[in-house]
Amino acid sequence: MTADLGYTRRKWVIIPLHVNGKGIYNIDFKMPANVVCCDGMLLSVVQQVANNDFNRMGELSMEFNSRKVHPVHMILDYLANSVAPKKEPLSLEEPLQKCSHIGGFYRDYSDKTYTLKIYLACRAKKEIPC
Amino acid sequence: MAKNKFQLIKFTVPQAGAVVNINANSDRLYKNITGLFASLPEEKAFEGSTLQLFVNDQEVFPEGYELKMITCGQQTSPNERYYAIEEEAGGSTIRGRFTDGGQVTYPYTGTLYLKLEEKISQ
Repeated sequence: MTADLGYTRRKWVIIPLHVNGKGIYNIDFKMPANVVCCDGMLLSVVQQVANNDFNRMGELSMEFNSRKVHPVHMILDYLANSVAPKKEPLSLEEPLQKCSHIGGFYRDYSDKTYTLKIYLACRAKKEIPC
Repeated sequence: MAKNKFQLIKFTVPQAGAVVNINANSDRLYKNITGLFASLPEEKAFEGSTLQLFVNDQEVFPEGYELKMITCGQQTSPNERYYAIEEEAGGSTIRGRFTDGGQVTYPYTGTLYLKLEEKISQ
């Protein structure tokens, strides 16, 4: 599948997940209409306590294009809430359909309270309404 | 004369949770902004701090974009520290909104570094 890219520029789409203890948190996010491709993904944790008793933080599963493709299913090791070496996005190169949904889930293993931010490095055309 | 330049944009954060507007113009003697780097006086100040940024009203970072994503520690070599962007310089409008999220000593001053390239010959 190839996307009609035309003139595009970088657009970051942020999906915040507020985690409050163990459990499954559903992801259902409508992508902006002008986004044509997801080049990559970065993850970040906000307001997490120190890692003192766990290594595995959770499990992330994401489906693109209204659940037609399933490019991400991964176990998250502990992510330090600090300045890290320079971060490069995990490459995805997934063309996106107009106004598609991103679905999936995050399962927390740590039983802590924090916000997991999923940064999608996308390419977007000029603003187009859905 | 150097072909590139590092332009500094400083902003002062007066208190915890403050929202600081950033308004500046890029150097009109350079064509392109090719890199961006953020610096705060304490590493803890990055925790939860966000930056929404526009260049010439084009969104570079959306609301909620954490500042720690465009910085890195001493372990990264200086020429690799800049977050790569491709934006127009030449006096372009830099508009930002910094939201403090840390618990540090106030007030403090943060700095945004713009890497400018392609000097316009006069």
